[in-house]
This record gives sequence, structure tokens and C-alpha cells, in this order.
Amino acid sequence: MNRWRPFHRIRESFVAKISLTLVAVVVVLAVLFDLMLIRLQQRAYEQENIKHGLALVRLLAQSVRIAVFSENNQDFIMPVNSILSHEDVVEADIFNHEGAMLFSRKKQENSLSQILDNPEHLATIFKNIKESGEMHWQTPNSFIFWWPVYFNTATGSDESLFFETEVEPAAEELIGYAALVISKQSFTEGIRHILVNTGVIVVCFLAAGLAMSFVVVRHMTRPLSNILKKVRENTGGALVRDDLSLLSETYGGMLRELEQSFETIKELKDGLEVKVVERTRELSDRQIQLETANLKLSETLAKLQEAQQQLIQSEKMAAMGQMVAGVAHEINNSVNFISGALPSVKRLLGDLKELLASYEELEGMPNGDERRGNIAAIHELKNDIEFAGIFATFEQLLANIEEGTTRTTRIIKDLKIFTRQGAEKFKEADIHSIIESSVPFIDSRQMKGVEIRKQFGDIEPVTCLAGRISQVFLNIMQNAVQAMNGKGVLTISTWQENGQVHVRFADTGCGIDKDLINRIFDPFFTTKEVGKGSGLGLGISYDIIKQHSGRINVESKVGEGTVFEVILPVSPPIFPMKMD
Amino acid sequence: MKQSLAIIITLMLLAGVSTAQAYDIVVVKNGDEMPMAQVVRAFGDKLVHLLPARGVKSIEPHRFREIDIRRNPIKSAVEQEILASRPDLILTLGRNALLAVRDISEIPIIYLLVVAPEIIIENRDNITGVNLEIPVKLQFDELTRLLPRVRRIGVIYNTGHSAMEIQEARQARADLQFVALHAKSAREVPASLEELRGRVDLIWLLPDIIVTNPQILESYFLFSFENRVPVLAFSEKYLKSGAALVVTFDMAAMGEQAAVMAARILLGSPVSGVPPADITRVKTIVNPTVARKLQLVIPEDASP
Repeated sequence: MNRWRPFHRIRESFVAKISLTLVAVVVVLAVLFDLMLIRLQQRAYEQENIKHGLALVRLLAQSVRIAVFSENNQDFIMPVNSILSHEDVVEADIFNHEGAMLFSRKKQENSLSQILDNPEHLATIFKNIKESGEMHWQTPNSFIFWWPVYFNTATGSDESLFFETEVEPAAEELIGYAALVISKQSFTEGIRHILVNTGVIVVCFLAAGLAMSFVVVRHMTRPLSNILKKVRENTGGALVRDDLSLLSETYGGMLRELEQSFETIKELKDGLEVKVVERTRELSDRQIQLETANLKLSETLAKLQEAQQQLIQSEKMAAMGQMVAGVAHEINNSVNFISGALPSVKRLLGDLKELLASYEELEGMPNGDERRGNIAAIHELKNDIEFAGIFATFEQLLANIEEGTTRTTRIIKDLKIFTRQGAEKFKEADIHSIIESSVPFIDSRQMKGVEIRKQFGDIEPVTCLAGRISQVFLNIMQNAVQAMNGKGVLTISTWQENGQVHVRFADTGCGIDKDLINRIFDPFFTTKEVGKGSGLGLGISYDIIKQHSGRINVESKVGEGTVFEVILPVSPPIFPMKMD
Repeated sequence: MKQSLAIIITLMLLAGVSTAQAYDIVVVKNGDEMPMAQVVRAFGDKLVHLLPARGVKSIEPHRFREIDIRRNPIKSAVEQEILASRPDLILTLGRNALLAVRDISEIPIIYLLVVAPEIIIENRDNITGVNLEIPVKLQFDELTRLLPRVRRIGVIYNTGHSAMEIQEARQARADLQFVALHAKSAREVPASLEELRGRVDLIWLLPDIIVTNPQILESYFLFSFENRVPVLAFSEKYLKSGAALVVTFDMAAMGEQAAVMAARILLGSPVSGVPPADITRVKTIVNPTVARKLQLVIPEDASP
């Protein structure tokens, strides 16, 4: 049984079947191609032989035309012998136009004439030649060719004997027939060569084709073989079935599974639609709930915004309170100069009035003792009122009053700058002046132990809302002073870099915790005690600087201090809208 | 007074001078083949030489007007055209040209290049010309000069067409042996040539339309090449076919000969007084290739 095993395997192997089919097809095609090629070559070779034979018989007919015309046997010998010298020509016959043989010669004199074997047939041949002009046919051993012999018998004029005259071409007269028998020996030999050569070529082609087919089939069916191998492994490998059955069963199984899958999918789909409807309804409910919540949130947001506005207002009020406190302190200091000087001035003015009254009384007295007594009293009065230094004292007091007035005027001026924000427009402003005008508004109560160091660099005027920028600076400085808790150094430095002005506020305060530093610009964020700060100051400052296309950088170390750096472009790219 | 007398005498002397005038000559031809142009040119040149135009018409040369009957083949139209212009002379070239004008009797006619013109002329007395016949004696004198060893002359003739030439040849050159074979038709030529094989030193080609049929001509030359026997022909056209030598007309001489006849007629001689004449000068041409192939020995001093 094992002896037949390879044949069983071939019968079972799909690849083997394809290979064998392909081989069979190639072989059949090669044989058909071979037969067709042989037939075509045979036909072409035959046509070539016929053409050759016709050329020879035509040549013969041309060569013997004078001999046929004159019916002179001697004249036939040379052209006929010439044609017979050709290897395969075995017989040549010449007839006159009436069919009578004029000349006949065979290569082998004793052989039978193949043309004259059927004399009755000649009449038909001549008739056909007259009509068609040529004729040829084959016998098993030879080709037979016929060609008419024409001769131009027209006579020209006497003048044509002497001169080249234009003579109308005369119709040629049929004067005979030439026949040629050509042996098929060479032709048969040639055909045999064709068969052999073609056969060899086809065998070579077949061998190459089969080899190629084997390689191609092997290469192309490798994926299929792999699939089959895997299928066999999946099916246990124990079953011995042919490949096609295996594939068919596998495919059938897959199809069934696929159908089941489709069924399942359909069921799931039906269930899914119900679920989608339910989920859609749920989503609608949720949407309604969300809309309700959204409405509530909107209301809450409105309330929050309202509260925010109130807080902002509170911040404003607080800021204003701080500012007013500072202003009041300053004005109070200024007014102290005046109010402190005024009692002394009143007192000195009384002394002077008393002295002048003594001098008026003295003017009306006659010289005498009384007069001298009054003069001594006047001198005594002068000593009492320290008349010698009274004018110097006056001047000192007036200087104090002037100082108080000057300070008050400056405060009012700064206050005017600070309070004209609402109607402010962008225009060029000196940052140093803005800083200078902001410093006086720092709460002076916390400034006692604070030193402000100014390290101003060379900067260009900045196009800005000066009041707003002043508000930012004041906010930063106020925070710094608060952070230093009444003692420390606030260093304000400025410089210009790449078309931007940098203003740096460095304090030596308590610093900001690392975890909080990212939140300091958030609205309502504050580290101050409740009621001391709204948490909006830096947020507003941040907005103002952003409004100027600038930015604020913050660096801080707890226990060492904080640095705020405000960076403003000298010319903002686009002037922002006026701020409220 | 003496001056006036001298002028009168001079005028009288000038009046006595011949007043030859320019003549109108119509040339009737059949096509434009080369020999015709050559003949007409020789005729014109000679006529001007013989009859220089002078006197009161000396400013005008002789006027030659050509009529090509191949373009105008209607005989009556040709006659009317000629009669309307009343030329002084008609020169015809070829048989057809002569046939086209032979019925004009009022104007002298000179023919050229016509074979057997007597058949056309009949008894008309206003026609004369140069016969297209090569005198046999001239022909064989040239042959003997070039090929002095040739003695046996083979010739195929037709009794009705060329028996006269055989007779003339025998009379003119009794020192030569003429082997003449009669052929009734061109079909007999190859067989006759077979009869001549080995019997002759040269084949004499006759201007005979029966035996020198263009289609059978090949036989002569085939015979010539096979038997190394040269062919003596009568026209240049046979040189390229295979003739070894040709004794033929000198076209220019024929034209000049006709011009002499024309001059006599134009000067007043009656046409009947100027009879048709044979050519007086021939031209001999050897085909060097054929001569070399046939191993002909031509004396150097006899080269044409």
C-alpha cells in the first residue's frame, strides 16, 4: 500500500494538480504550436518553391520565344539545357500555340514524361493558361509549372529601321507554352529539415517552459501551501484529506461561522437599536437636566459676576482708602508746616504791634525823662521780643509755610495725575515720572523703616496709559512695603532692551511660597488677612500690562524677598482700547 | 555738279546688285527626335551660307517655321496652315511629314529621311530631296577599310524588299563573296542564320522590314556572339543591340546636301531641274566593346 502513497499524495495535493495541469497545457500548446509552425513554414517553403519554379519557367518562356517563333529546334537546346542544369529541374517541354510539342527534354532520358502522361489534359491546361496567364500544380513527386510564350510580331515603319522612333506598344501574340517539371526531392529534404529544426526548438521550448512553470507554480503557490499547512495544523493534522477537500471544508466551515456571526450581529443590531432609543431618551432627559443646571449656573454666574463687581468696587474703595490715607498723611504733614508756623507768626506779629505802638507813643512825647523812660522801655521790649532775630524767625516761618504749600501743591498735582485714569488715552510718558508720582501714595505708615533705592537707567518714553501704569506700580510697591512689614529696602531699577522697557521692583520682604507664586495673578487670591486685601490688585495689574502688550515676571524666595519685573514695549504694536 | 553726278552713278550701280532676300521656309516634321534637329540645323546653316540675306531685306534672316504633324495630325489643316503663309519652300523630315504636304503643288518641297520616297512622290514635279539609302559601294568600301580580312558576307533578304541591294552589292564589290539567303518571313531568319553558320565572316544587316524585324533582331546578334561573326548594320541604333560596326548616314551632310538643293530652287531653278539625289557622305562607327569581344582586328590607320 505504501508503494502507492506518492501517487495518492499527488492526487491529494492541490499544487501537484495545478503543476500537472499546467504541464499538460504547456505540452498540448507546444505540440499545437509545433504543428502550426511546421504547417506555416511548410506553406511558406512551398510558396517559395512555387515562386522559384514560376520564375524558372518564365525565364524559359522568355528564352525560347524566338525559337518558338521560328520553330527552330536548334534554338531550343541552349535555353532548355540551361534550365535543366538547375538541380531540381527534371523536365522541360515547349509547345506551339496549337498545342503541338516543339521541344522536350528530360534530365533522365529514359524517364517517363510527367507532362505528356495525360494528353487530353493538355487542352484544359492551355485553355487555363490563356485565361489566367500561368499555371502550376503538384504531383506526389514533383511541381509542374506552365508559362505562356508571347512574341511581339508587329512590324514597324521603314523609318523605324533607321531611327529610334516612338512606336506604340503592340499587343503580344501567344505563340506557345513552356512547361517545367521540378522534382520534389530538395523540397522534401527541406521540409524534413524544417520538421527536425522545429521539433528541436519546440522540445527546447517545452523543457524551458516546464522548468519555468515548475518554478513559477512553486513560487506562486507557496502562500497557498502555507495556508493549507496551517489549516491542517488547526484541524489536528491527523486527517488525511486532499487539499481541495480540506480547503472546501474549511471554507464551508468559515462560511457557516460567518453566517452565524451575521446572525449574531443582526440580533445585536436589533438589540442595539432598542438600546440606542433608550439611551437617546436618557440623553434627552440628561440634556433637559443639563439645560436646567446650565440655567441655574448662568444665574449663579450672574450673581458671581455681580459679587465680583462688588468686590472690585470694594478693592477700589480699599485702594482708594489706602490712597486717601496716604494723601491725608502727606497733606497733614504739609499742613503741619503751615499750622506749626502760624502761632509763632501771630506771636511775633503781636510783639511787633506792641513795639510799633511804643514807638508811636514815643513820637508824641517831649524830650525829657519820660521820653527817655519810654525809650528804655522800648529797648527793654526789644530785648524781650528778641527783636534782633525776629525777622530771621519770620523768614524761617515763611519758609516753613512755603514748604508746606509746595508739598500740598505737589500732592494735589500727583493726585490729579492718579485720578484722571478714566479719560486717559495712550500717549508717550516717562516711566520714571510715573514711578516718582506713584511713590508718594504708598501708605506712609508702613514706610517708616523702608528705604526706596532708585537705579534708573536710560530709557525712552513709553506709549501707554500713564495712570494705569501708575496704578500697577503703586500696587506692586504697596505689596512690597507690606511684605517687608515696615522694614527693608525696595530697589526700583529700570533699563531698556530690544525696544522694551524693564521696570524691576525688588523687595527684601518675606517672599512668596513656591506653591503660591503661580496663583498670585488669579483674581481674589490673597495671602493677606481677611478685610485687608481683595485679591484683585495683581490680577488687575496683570490685565493692565497685558493690555499694553507687556508682561510681568515674578521671582521670589521665601525669607529673602520678591522681585516683580514689568516689561513694556516702547511702542505697543496696536494701541489697545481705552480701559474702563 | 560733279558731286551730284557721282551720287547718281553710285545709286545706279547699287540698283544693279542682286537683291537676294530672306526666305520663308516651313519645316514639316514628325516629332522632335535628335536626328531631325541635327538635319534642320545643318540645313539652316548651309542655306544661310549659300544664300546670305542682303539687299533691301538684309536686316531680316531667313525665317524657319516648324510644323509638327504629331501635334497637328490633320492633313488638310497642315496644308491650309502652310498655304495661308505662302512660304518660299517646304522642307519635310520623314515619311509622314512628306505625306502630309505632298498634295501642295504650288510650293517647292524638299524631303529628307524618307525611305522609298518614289512611292509617295509618284509623278509630282514640285518635290525633290535626298534619298535615305546608303550606297552599297560606300558601305563596303568602309567595311573593307576597317576589316580588310572580311571576304564572305552573309546576308538574309526578302526578295520583295531587298533583292536590289544584293544585286548592287555583287556588282559594286565583285571581290567579296555574298552568301545571300532568301527568307519569306521573320520566322525563317533563325533557320537561315543556322545555315550561315561557319560559312561567313560577317553578317550584313539590310534595311528590310521583313528580315530585320526588330523582334527577330536578337537572333542576328545571338548568332554574331555565338559564332564570333560581326554584324554590319546601317543605323547607329543597332550599336547598342550588338552590331560591331555601322556605316550610316551623316545627318549634317544630308542637311547640307538638301540646303544646296534648296538654294538652287530658291534662286530660280525649277524643281524638276533638281532631281532627288543619293547621299554622298557616310559615317562609320565601331562598337569597341563588341569589337573587342569578337576579337576584331581593326588597323590603327583605319580607325574612323
